[in-house]
Amino acid sequence: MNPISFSADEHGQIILIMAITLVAVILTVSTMIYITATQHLFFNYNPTREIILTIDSDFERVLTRILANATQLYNFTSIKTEEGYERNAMEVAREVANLTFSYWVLSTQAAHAGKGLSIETDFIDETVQEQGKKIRLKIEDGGTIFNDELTYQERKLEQKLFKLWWYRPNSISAIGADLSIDSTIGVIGWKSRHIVFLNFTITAIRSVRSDDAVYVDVSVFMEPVDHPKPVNDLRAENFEVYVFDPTVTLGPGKFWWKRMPVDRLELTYNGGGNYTVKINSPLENPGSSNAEDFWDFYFSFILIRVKDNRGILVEAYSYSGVEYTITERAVENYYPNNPYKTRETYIFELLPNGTLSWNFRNLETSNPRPPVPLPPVKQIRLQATTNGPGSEFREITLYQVERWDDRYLWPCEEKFIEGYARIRNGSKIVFQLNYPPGVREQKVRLIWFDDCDAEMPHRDFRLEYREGIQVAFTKHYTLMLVVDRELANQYYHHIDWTMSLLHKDAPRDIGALTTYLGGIDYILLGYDAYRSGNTYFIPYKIPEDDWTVLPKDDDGDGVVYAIVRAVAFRKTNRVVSSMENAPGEFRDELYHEAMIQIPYDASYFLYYINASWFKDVDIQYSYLVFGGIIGGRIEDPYQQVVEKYKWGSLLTPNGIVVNGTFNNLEGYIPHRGYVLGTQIGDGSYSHWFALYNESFGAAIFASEQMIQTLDKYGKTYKKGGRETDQVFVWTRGSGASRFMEYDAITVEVNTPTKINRYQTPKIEFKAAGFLLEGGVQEGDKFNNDGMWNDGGGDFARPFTRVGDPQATVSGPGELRLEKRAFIWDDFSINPIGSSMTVTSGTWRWEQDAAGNGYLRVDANGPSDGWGGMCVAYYPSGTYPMPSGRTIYVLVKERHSITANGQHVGLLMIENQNRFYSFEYYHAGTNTQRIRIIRYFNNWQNPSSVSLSLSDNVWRTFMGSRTVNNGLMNFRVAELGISVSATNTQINVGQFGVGVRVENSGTSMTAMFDDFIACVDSDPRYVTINDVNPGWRIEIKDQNGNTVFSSVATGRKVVIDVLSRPIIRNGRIEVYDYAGNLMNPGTTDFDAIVGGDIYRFRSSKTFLNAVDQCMMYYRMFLDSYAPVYEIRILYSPLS
Amino acid sequence: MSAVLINRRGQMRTVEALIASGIMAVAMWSMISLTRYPEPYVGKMRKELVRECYDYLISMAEEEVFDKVIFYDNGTIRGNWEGLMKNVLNALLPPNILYNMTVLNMTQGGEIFYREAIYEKTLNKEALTNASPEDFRLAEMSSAEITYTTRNRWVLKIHLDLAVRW
Repeated sequence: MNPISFSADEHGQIILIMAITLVAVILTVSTMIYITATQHLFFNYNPTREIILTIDSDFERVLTRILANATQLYNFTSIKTEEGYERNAMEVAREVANLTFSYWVLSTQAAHAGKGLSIETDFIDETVQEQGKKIRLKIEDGGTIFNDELTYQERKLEQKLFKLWWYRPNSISAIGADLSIDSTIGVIGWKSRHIVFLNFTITAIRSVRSDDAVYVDVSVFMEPVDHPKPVNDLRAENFEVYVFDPTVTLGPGKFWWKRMPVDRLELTYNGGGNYTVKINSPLENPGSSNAEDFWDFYFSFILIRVKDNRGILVEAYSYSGVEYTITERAVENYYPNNPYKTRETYIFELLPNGTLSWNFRNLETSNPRPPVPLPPVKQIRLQATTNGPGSEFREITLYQVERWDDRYLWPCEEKFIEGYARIRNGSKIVFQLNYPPGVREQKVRLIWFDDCDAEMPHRDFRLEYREGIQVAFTKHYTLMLVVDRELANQYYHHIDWTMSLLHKDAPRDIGALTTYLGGIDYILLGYDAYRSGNTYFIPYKIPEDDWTVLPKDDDGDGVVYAIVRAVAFRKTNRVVSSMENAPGEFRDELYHEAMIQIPYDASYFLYYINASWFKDVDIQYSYLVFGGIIGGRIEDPYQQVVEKYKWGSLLTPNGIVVNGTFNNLEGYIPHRGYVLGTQIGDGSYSHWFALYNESFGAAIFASEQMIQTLDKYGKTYKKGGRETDQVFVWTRGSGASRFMEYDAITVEVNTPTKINRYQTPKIEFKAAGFLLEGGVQEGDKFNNDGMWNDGGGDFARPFTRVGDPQATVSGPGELRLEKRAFIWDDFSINPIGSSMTVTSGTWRWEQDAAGNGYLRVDANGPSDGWGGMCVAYYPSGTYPMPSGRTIYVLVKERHSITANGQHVGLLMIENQNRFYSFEYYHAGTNTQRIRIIRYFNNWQNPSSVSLSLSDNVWRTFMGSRTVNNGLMNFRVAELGISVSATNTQINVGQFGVGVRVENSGTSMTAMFDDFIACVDSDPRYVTINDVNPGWRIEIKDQNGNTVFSSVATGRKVVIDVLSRPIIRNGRIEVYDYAGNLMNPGTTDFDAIVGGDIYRFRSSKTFLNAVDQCMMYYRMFLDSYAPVYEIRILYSPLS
Repeated sequence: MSAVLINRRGQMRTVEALIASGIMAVAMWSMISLTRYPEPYVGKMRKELVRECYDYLISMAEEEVFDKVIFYDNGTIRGNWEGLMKNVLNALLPPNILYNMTVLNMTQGGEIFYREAIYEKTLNKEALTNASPEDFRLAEMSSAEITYTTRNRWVLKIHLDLAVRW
């Protein structure tokens, strides 16, 4: 075969090769396209974005759920725990909200585990509504009653997850938090802020009587905050509307505030989140005489609670508060601008219908009374002016909301002081208001906080129950109430009294209280008498039963706390015999109801009794007492001790005050009144009498009712033409108890009285017990048995004038210094050549490493004068000695003795030839002593005690000398070793220090510091007088460091300041029991020096018993009761 | 002899041309086949199905379907809510979509108080599905999960599988 021919045949193969090559290219390209086009199908889709969006969406959802749940929980107001005690529903709601929120975070993290998500949340402080937001409110009844913009304070979330601002015309429920998510495989740094809220506003209220309807315009918005979105899906069922219907007759389930049934509501949506709620036929009794008041006035008080379709609640009220201007009429008119008027304090009660009352009486006002709405009581706040209507408003901290029965006759035993429940039928807002000197009018604002995190005030009023006795520890006095007479008698013998008023500094321990002699006891209603031997006992029959004291002790530990007052009451037909050997009870004679109100921060308690005779009752020995006071108990051994109540005073009908002294002997003496057939002195009476000693006392203030009831009984049961009502004043033999009592029927011998239940159907009156600071007999006694029978002696006689009490102290005051030191020197500056004169020896002023100065002397051998002493002294020309009984000199001393016959000490000097040396004497190795030695031209008559004092140790030498008798004492204070001597030869007038080296060629060194010379006060101590037991005194240096601190156990505190007897630029701070600084303006002193005596002077000065009674008794009379005016507060900022 | 040879060359070229044409034709067919976009539903299905899963779940959450179906108004669990949920899903999803939903409760016992640990418990007592597991194995499937906080504050985890029925 020809190879060339063969090559000619290769053309056909080229086509094939080219075709294959082209195919390869095509296949490669198409494969690449295919791979490229389908590459993404080989990877899973990463849905991070969707996951984050769903988490974000659920975050908003959980916030909505939390807010819905929180508002619904809070709406319960209180929640009972498994243990059975009430909790603030807001606390529970917040706990549940926080728990739900945390749980959601954990659950969401767990649900998306493995997706590389990090979820974090934060609470925020976002402003939900800006400061000063103005929203208009319009109220019309044909004419315009109110049309103004209300201003709201800033509302912020305060890092609290959710906040509720309710009970205002504009109310908001809001929740908000931040969410941040980081994904390791996708989105980094996702952040979002969610705020969910419901914003509800009452914008207008119109009454249209012709329609028998009230129209309420409201607007409802939801998130976001910046551009609120209208809520447009509400129906009438979403609204709870309350109106105040004055035509309602109170009763079970009936209350002035009533919820309108849904079928009486018509809802119209006006677009833009605006609705009109038409309330049809709002009145229960449209024909009632009160109906007019509704259409003119009460229609404007609307409460609306809305629950949107997310379940979020909000509650709005058409007004924000009520202002009362209360004018007193009892004191200021009669004592204008009197600085001693410090106790005009009223405890007012406010009912939901706006009625204000005091001392069991509704007060008068010319205005229609706005009702109190229905917020939880913890939201209630009271503010009052401090010094008249134009002065600043301050919050009243002493108030409580009490629960009474539907008719407000008796308090409820359970939950008497409410904390979290809503105001409701039976609620009473009880608050205290004081009228300082010069003030007749005070304004009180009742408001309700919109911030639902508000809390109740603390309860500080402690009540303690032990063995049948209830003790109330008020701010001004301690009151013991015999709650269970039979039980109490097992531990504590007593017969007739029901209450005992004690000084607030009386022991707080009940055991000690029951033996405390310092109380004044109150007897209440009693009647009849019995005779045993020659003694008549009154009363024989005592209306008596256990008291119920509120608030109740729920946990059984005997201790319970109130805020502004406690209430005790009883309702019974029980009358007991006081005859100890014939006890018994009578159930068919008298039904009696009584109530005692015990305020925490006032000087009185209030008493009310309403007793009715079941039948005509025979009183064997005529006697009926309405009430009285007793000083000294029957079981007290008679002794004329300070606790005995020595004096009594009373107001007579002609306005004259009678003062008298009780007998000082153990024996019965009637001082005033008719008794057992004899008229002893005058028995006339008026609105008060008082029993007192130098620092304590008590009074009864009788109301008009009491006086009238006494008078009625006195006239009805006349004996021989003599009316039987009187004030009876007498001294009892047993324990020399002193009695003053209001008798409706005087005690008669063998003369029965038949009570006619139709002629004298009721014994109903009120009275007050009043605490007094006491007083002393100041005017002269005189003999007038008609005024005050002396019993034949000259002690128990009337006197003309009552002097000021030796009052206890209370309230801030000032600390006054009585400086007893006339020389004090801490050697902080060089005294040589300035304050001190030095003789021989080398005297130098030196400072230690800390810069504290001291005086140093180096002596070599005896000096030429002064008996060989080297002396430095304060000359009398510069430092004259004041008059006094005893001179004290104190100095700190340190010595270095090198030989025998060396002395160091302090000197009391007449001149260089006559002086006393109070010294340490080193006579020999075994002979060292302290001694007092006289230098009277030569050294004479030492008195000494052996004592060895080592070198180079600071000691405190203190010498004293009684001027009159020359009695001297020298002691080394730290060791308590002293020596005494007596000498009157030298007239001491100068003071100093000195050293003596007897032998030439020997030397010694001594140093002195903190020299004090003072009169009649021991320089080792600083004394603070006139404080109360339990007060704390702190002495501080100029840097504010406490150097000394002590707590008073009596009226005086003595502080040992030996370790630092001179403090320059120091402070003394006096604190009361509660830690209040009592001397705010007088804490700083140039020098606090041992021997100083300070006296705390209270800024409050108390009147004597008579002046106090005269000043305050009208407070408890109806004819002088306060009156008030009212203003509605739509906005608290208006 | 030469003429015979010439005729043989012509035939060979013809054969070569035919072979080349055949190769080209195969190549063209292959190219057309390879460069044609994959079947649209298959190509998009994974991503779209995932998105659709989330869309369905989110829209159900926004309409509070889980609250309305699983719980009564008072917050207690509705009896046989699973049947109701299947009705909802059947109505909501196209007929050719297979689904399988699982509802997990992260809030054991319903109360979130006093809980120490979080763990999941399946809330549905019966399968919420319109297909057998075998159907899902043969199909292209996607799934999604969301958390949903109910009105009574339970935190639910909702898992949804979707697949296309061929």
